[in-house]
Amino acid sequence: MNTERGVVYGVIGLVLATTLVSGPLVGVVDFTTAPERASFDGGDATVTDVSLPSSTEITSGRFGSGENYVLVPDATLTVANVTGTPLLAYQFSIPALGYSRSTTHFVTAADTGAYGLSLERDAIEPSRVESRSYDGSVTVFLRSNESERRLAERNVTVEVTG
Amino acid sequence: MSVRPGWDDSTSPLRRRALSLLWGDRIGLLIFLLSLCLFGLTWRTAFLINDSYTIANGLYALEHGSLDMTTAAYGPGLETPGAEWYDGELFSRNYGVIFAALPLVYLLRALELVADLRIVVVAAWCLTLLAATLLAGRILDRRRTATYAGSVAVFGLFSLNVALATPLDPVQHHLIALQIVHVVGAAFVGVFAYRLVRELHDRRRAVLAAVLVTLATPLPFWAAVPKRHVLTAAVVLAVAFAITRSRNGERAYATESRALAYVLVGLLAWVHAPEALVVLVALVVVDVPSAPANDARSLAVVGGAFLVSLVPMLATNFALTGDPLTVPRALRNAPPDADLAIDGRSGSNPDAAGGDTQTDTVPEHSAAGNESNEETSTVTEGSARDGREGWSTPPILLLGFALVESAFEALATFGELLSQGLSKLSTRPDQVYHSFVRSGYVDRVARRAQDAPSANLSFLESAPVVAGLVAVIPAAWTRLRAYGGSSRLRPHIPPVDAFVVVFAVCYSLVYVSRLPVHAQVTVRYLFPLYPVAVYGLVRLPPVGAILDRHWRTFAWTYSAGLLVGSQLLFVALVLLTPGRGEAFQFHALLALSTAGLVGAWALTGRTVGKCGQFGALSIGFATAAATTFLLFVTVEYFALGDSHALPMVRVLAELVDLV
Repeated sequence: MNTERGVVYGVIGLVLATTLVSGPLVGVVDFTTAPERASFDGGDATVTDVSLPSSTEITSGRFGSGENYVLVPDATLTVANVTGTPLLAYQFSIPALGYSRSTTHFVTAADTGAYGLSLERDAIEPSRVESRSYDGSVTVFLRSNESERRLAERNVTVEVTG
Repeated sequence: MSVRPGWDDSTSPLRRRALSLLWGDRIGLLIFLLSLCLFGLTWRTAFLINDSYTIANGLYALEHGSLDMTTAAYGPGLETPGAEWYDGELFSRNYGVIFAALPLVYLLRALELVADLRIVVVAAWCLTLLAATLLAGRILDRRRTATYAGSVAVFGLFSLNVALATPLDPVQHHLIALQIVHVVGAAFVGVFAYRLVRELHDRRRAVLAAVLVTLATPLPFWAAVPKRHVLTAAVVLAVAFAITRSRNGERAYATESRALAYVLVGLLAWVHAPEALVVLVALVVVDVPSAPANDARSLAVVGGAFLVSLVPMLATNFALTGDPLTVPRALRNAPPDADLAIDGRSGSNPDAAGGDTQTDTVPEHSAAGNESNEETSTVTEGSARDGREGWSTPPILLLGFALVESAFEALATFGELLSQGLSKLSTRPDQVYHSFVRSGYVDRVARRAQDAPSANLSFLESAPVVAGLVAVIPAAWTRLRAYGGSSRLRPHIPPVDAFVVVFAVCYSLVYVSRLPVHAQVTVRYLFPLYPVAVYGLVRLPPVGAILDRHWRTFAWTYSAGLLVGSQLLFVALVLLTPGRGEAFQFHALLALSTAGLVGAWALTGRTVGKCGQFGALSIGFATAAATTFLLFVTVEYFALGDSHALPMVRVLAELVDLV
């Protein structure tokens, strides 16, 4: 009986003590460390072999969800000579629809080699899609120390399917 | 295995009475503690809906000593949905919860002086879990096992969470205080489901009712969202419980219970007057004819208690507008609430045009948040108030007249809403179908929803066990045959069932003309109907019989469905790479298929042999489908920037990347 009581009070005491120790009053340790967010603080990289998709698609949603989805295949490239954390951006736009979407990737030395940039499936209102196909463009940017460079750009056909 | 639900003899009588008042017995308290632990897992310390900004800013204003809002501590500005201009000042809404949350803000500020708030959250959750384990050990008479297992588990979980902890966003005290108020309210939904069913049936069925209310409905999703829905649900169940208790005049505290029902409604009016009115109408219609006594004394007690419970609301109104009866969102002033207002604003959202051009960096919660412009009131103060301008200092008598007058006006609006609901049923049954049965793609919703048109499930898709309600057909048929159709022996309907039915009908009719709308996720306007439906479900003789007989089948199917099914579902979703709308509809179809099983069994109404076992199995699957959806929606679809209160859940959410 007393052991049981001891165990319970032990755990409660430990929990409370840890909580107090974490506080500014005692301030011995800080248990909560903010995660390091990748941030753009300059850097550069050599990017070669940029390969962009040749066609993209607007397809109707599955499972009765009704809305349309914009599908953009991945872009691939090769990264070398990384210094700091430069930034890679992958952008897709359909000017006729006023549609634009992009992702950004922070590149570090660990990313040296083949690298893929992807855009997630994105919902688009069906009533906005009226033609069978649209002209769109995919672009890859590199933001380094000095400037933002357009590494590659390609005009693509957007097929409306389904 | 013996079960000991009673309080310990060592508990002092006063403490025992206090515990009994709130939780009934130890099982009620256990349900409460376990609910808190569950809601701790789904708790995200971020804004899901724009309306919550209004309440958080209102709390910020109150903490700084005023009722009108001048500083937008949260959100894009002060004019968020539900904020109301009156006489050049901007007021918040749901003042009941704002006042309830105020002490918590002070508590949080005090705790922050001595401890890291994130660690406080983790510690509170761990200690709640420890308390629940120890209590479960006492109830099941396994004290030793529970003590050791619980201590070890809690120690492990605490260490794990502390190791993974990140700092809590420092500015969010008001949001967190509001969330705690709602989480506690939500935990009472399960408690009162248990206590209500316990009054009418055996303990097992009562526990299963609490389990179904908590795990087979979207309760855990809405628990930590500062919206009125869970509070209304808790009050409805508590009122039903009070009705049951007070029908036998010989019983101890019968009149007090009856008065308590009215007090709860009065307090709910402080939070949300229109919904309180719906509960009040159902309560009065059922309570007065069925009460054990309607003598002057008991009516005075009940009426007096009700009037006293309205005092906080009237006092707040007085402070706001100088007139106790003028609420910024008053019933009398026109439509009872922006939520309920019926107007022609079905045109497209002016903001919608730019909806798709955003980049990945837009915070996820805007998906749900932006939609709730719906709730922005178009009602202006004015005409209705003008008549009262002359009464700058109303004497008691005039106040009495005004009360009666405003009550009639409220009832007239209420009647109007009911008739609008009825006409909607006859003119647009397709929209009612979208809200209750199959959501799919709804054009009207999609036009206002900027980037998540299909992130809305129907009532049945959110809680597929509700399909079991069709068992009312075989049950009624059995009864009819037993009575031989003789009207002389018409079966007696218990008052509590009458209350629940009247409430459910009125409540659905009031809201149905508005639905479907966006930013609902699980038809949240109808949220109080979920626990009510579960109550109806366990009351039906066929469902009750299989829960009694085959509860083990139910428990095993549920566990397997949740543990194995959710993993299979995860793999399926990884392979399908759906958008969020598609993922929602995938869950919807899954839920509907389990609802189909439940419905098919319920139609047979058979409870013996394989058929009964199949029924328990189908209910287990339907419950697992609902819980799985809740798991995915809180961890992934509406992770709100991975702002989970518990570090271990946050890490899980960071690992999972589906949509």
